[in-house]
Amino acid sequence: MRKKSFTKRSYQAYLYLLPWFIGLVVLQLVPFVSSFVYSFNDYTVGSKLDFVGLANYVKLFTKDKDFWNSLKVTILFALYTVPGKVILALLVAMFLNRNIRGINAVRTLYYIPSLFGGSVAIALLWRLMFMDNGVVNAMLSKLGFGSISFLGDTKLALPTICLLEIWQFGSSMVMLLAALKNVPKELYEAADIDGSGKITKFFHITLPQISPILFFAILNQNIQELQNFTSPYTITGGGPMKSTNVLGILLYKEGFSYFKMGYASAISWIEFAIILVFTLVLFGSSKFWVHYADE
Amino acid sequence: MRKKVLSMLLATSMVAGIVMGCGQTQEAVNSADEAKTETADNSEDKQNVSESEQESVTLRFAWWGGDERNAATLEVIEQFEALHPGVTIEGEPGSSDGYHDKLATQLASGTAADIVQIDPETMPTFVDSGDYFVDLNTTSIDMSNFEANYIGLQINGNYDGKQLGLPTGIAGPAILVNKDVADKYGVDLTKTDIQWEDFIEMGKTVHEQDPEAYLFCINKEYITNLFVLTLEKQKAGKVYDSDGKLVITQDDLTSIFTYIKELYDNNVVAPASYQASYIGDDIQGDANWIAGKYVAAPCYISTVDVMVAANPSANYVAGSLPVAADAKDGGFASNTPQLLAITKSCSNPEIAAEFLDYFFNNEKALETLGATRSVPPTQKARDICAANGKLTQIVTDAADIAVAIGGTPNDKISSSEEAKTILYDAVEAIGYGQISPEQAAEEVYEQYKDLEK
Repeated sequence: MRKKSFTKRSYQAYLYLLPWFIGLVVLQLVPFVSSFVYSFNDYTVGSKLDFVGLANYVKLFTKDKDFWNSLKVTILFALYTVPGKVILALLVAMFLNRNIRGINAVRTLYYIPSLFGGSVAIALLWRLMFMDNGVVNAMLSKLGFGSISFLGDTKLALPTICLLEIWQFGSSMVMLLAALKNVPKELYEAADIDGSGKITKFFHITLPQISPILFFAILNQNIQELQNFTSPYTITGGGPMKSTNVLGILLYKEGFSYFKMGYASAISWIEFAIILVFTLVLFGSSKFWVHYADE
Repeated sequence: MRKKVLSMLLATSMVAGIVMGCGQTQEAVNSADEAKTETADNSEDKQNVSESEQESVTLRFAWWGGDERNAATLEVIEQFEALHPGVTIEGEPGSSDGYHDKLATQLASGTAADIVQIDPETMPTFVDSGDYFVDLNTTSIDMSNFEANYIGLQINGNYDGKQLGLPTGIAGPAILVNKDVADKYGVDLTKTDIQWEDFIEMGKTVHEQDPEAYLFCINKEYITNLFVLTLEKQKAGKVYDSDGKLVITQDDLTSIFTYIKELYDNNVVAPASYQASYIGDDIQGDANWIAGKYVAAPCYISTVDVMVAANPSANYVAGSLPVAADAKDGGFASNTPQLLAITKSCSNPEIAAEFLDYFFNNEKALETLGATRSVPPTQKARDICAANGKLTQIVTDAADIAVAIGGTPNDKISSSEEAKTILYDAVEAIGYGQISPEQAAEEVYEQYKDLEK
């Protein structure tokens, strides 16, 4: 009787899961496997698959200068953005982790930029702000400084786009704020009795206590930034001189402008491998600096 | 228990919805196949149309455009629906950004709209990729109002005798001159027999008088599409021949890139770092154009009104297009800005054809559409527009100049996005002083060679 009831419940559960499962197969699993197959083929949209083995990958690594440039730009993009975003999120979270009047309203204000994450409208606004005759340069000239070509200078365009990403630190900030609130006060009291200073308390109590959330924030942001496309594509289109041409843009152009789906799929798998390596390195390093309560 | 039953019902209905959705898709595919068979059998056409009309037909029509074009097109759809009870045409207006990426995917998956607007320079890629479009010669569309020479060009939809699309207008290059600014600096871009070298001298004249002023409002994309591609054809006649073999030489490319370098070095155009903020078709957003700091904007007939709207208080005239004395071709190709085609996945191609017939030939429809898709493609439509004042004088003048000079349309290799990107990169690198014209020519030539068939 008990067994029969269990079977019935399982059946119901599977029925509930079915819409999600169909979505997973159609929208994720099939494209995932298809792109893997395409990457070994010379395939343009509408044509038949022409198996070429590793040729797409060989071309990428040996002949495509744009690929190496995009790889460098993508890694730089993540290196600029992830630490910047997480450090700023931590600093603001520490500032907001205090009981002062109206703090909830301030927390909401800081979170607002993150609501626009990945938005084309915000990226366009950023372009208007930082273009040669944009708002920022108008302000600089009012203050007596010369105009800076933020989007036209090959060295400044990438950091300018990274600023937009860093500005959207809200989601990490909310998580870190929750982590900070969960640090037991007794630990700080004990440290006070021992005569520890603020810096010592931060590095020996706060950081170890929030390290699991910090780890998650870094991991999450790293995956997100290595796949970024919207901001550089909308603000600079990958220019000037391909200085912001991240792998996402290269992939998009090969796939949807030149219709070379096989080649674009190979790029997407390389990008996937890079994200996987970064993630594994982060996981590997976590045992040295992430402290879980049950350890 | 009640909750359980309710939950079960909901979950079952969701799954059933998915299954039914699949079923409907299959039905749609089946009906599309049936419709194709019906089209092939001309003797049954009329009977099928009437049967379809009785049944009630729903078709989708996808296009890109601004508010004015959208409103006019939707109005024409309403007019057609009023004349054809039972027929519903669902308009799918959108932005040009990403339109063709989406269309490529839809064509490949058989989910494209029944009637689609297509960029004529993207069309060859689609035609090469698969059998996606209905030959309009086999439909009931009356094409007698079109000039045979015009719709007979591949760029205007004719592929090996098959009319796979119909041109929606006449487009081509234009030089929109801000006459007030031109007079201020004493340059005349409207003079007859203007030469490419004249641009350099005029640019110097302008910039010497005002370091913030330049002759042309332009970016790397427009330099490529309007100057480099035109110069290529004037130098070599064509970039690739009909067999896909490269015709232009490295020396031709060197002289073209030397000219482009002169444009930057002599401040005929704004610095490349300034242009970087205005990517793609965004030249009308250039704050200095709006502020009247440029003498002219090389653009297209279809975008003349947009450029005028960005700075409406100025007086404008159409500038002349330079043709080198030893030019092998006029270079400035006038062709349609868009094509309208019926997709093979269309469930009822004859009704779609009837709609296109109404769209291109009915006087009320032509009056409604006006010049929302550039200068209309037929004399009948142009006469109606002229009578209604829907064509501005500046657009008519620009069209006259482009048609008078003319030139061979860009071949499908050199006009592909991949080939144009090669040129965009070269022009940008020259603008930034990263490479010499000789290096640019060598790199472009090598990459052009890789695109040969």
